[in-house]
Amino acid sequence: MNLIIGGKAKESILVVALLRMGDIVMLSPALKNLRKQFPNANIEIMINENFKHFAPLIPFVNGVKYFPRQALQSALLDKNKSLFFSIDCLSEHVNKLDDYDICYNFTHNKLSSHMMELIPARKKIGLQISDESHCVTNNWLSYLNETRVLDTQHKFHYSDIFKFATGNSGSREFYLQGVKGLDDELFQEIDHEEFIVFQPLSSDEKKNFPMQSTLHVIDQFLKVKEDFGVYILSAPSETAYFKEILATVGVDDPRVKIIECGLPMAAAIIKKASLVVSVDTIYKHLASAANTDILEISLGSSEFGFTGVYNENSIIVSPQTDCYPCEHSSKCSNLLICQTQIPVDVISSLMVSILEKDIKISGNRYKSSGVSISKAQFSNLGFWYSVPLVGGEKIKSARQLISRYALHFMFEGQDELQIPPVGSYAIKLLKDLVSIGLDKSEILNLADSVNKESEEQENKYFKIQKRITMQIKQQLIRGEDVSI
Amino acid sequence: MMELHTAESGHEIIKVNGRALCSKVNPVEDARRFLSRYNFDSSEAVIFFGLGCGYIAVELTKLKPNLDILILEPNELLITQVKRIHGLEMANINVMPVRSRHQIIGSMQVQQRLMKPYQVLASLMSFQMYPDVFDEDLKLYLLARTKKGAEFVANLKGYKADLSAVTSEELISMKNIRLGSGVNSEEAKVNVLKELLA
Repeated sequence: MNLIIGGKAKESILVVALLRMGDIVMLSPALKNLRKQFPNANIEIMINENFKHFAPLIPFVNGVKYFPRQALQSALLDKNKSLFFSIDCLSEHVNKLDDYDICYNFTHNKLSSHMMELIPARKKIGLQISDESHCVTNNWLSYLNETRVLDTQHKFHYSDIFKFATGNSGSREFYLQGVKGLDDELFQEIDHEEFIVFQPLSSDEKKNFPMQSTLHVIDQFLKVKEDFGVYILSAPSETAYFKEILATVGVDDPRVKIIECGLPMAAAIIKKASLVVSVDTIYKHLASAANTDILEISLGSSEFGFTGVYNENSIIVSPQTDCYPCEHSSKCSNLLICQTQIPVDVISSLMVSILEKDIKISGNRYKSSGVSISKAQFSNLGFWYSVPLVGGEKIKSARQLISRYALHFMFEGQDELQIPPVGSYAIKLLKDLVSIGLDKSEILNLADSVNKESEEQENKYFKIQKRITMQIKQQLIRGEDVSI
Repeated sequence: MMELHTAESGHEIIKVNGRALCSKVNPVEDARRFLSRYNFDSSEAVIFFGLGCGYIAVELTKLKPNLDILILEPNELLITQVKRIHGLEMANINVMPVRSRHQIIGSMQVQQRLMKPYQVLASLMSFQMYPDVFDEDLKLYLLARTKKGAEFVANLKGYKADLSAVTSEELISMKNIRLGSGVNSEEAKVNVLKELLA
């Protein structure tokens, strides 16, 4: 409901974000866009109640609503509670919500789409099932549900989809608010001037980097960087496990420490760290927000193309096993083989390279390592993509880049005729293709091949793609310098 | 036959036909242990089958002072004795003398509780002592887990429940009910909850 403040109506906005904490951090560029678009609005975000402790870090919002997910789930399974118990509790929750001017669904699962139906709002943006009269189309958000319409799977980072869905403000980073300094107790714990944070475990066993390998990496790293501390940040529920592992393998190096802390303190520690090495956890997103260098180890069902580290020049290591990335919800049927495919010396060596700002990873150095190494980058249109440094296929990557350009234009509501004939736009794409490492002849070949693929297609996406590749060719044929 | 005894802890306890209705060692500790097995979060009402020696009800009001507790008890003499033992501590606890299943279902006191987020608790002893009044079927009926019970409670709450796909023998879960749609749609709520079970 509009609040009248000083005679001027103030919009009220609710953002539904019912996924995990890492996903909420990934929404921060979109939240920034909303704040920019509605500077005086009362913006609230609905998150799962079990992430209450994370709420103080969420930026650009005026308030947080909590969805009682666990309470509802436990009531549903409680055989002493009435069949209608959870419905009554959910009704109570919904009844407490204000009337909003706009409600955005940034969750995009079935649960959130049904919640959208229950939330009182004049305008609803994002996935909702039924009650189509309230449905507001947004190309970017529709894309999350329409991958089969196109010739491809998702091609944009999740963060970019929400960022562009709310109007691109050009954000190339994540944001958190209220990250304070270290409290006295933790200040004592951080006993090294320079330190790294190493997070080998996630909430999903498939994404973990094995503890034995972690300890070997740390051992190798500390032989080179003797003055560094290595800290593993631990939620209270994990500390006993970490300590037991360290005791079992007999690690008594005072430079290696388990630090038990909540997320606000973890964010403060990460801000001071020289490097964060992490599997797919919220810690890598906290590092993105703190602009700390990151080395991501992407394993199991972690697909870095969608949820990878959102910092320019960060490095991502992934296995080359056929089954990677695997299905999210299924159990591993290959004995977690991808976890054994990441050589310890590759990780420790990359850690040193990043710290020494030697990020020009030499192909030859890691060629036979059996892993893929990629670098996170932002295109000239502002979307995230990864550049293969080792083990990846640069032509495939370039092909995806062209596809993203086409999708971007399509979602922004432009068609092939609206794309400027030749000029700055083609130069932008050419620069991005060159950054992947393609030379002139490779770009021309790629343009020809995409053109051919798109030729007989009537789909708008293919028409735009064709137009794009023709522009690139014209640009190159004119003899423009592409090594800019 | 009803007898009064003293537990090892010094608390007064009651035996009916030679059987103690609560712990002979420490009924207060025993009541706390019993309650710790249940989750009363978000509950507004609890219906108990059987009063026992009253310690469970008294401890529950200490644990959740705002909880609306209704105890169904067939033995009126027992109600008198328990009220005497606990005195003022029983002031906020509603104890309803009951004779039959039919009376329980038809009672306004019971129906008022069914309008809230409620739970039903029953001990094995209550089933054994009063088999003509209390049984598992009654509990499931009041919890809306049987077809007839669900129809009854849905009707009380004003929900348009479609249970045509459920057989009368089947236990109902959120997965197999459908509720009518509307502006603040119960159907959407059921869909949200079904997703939580997926």
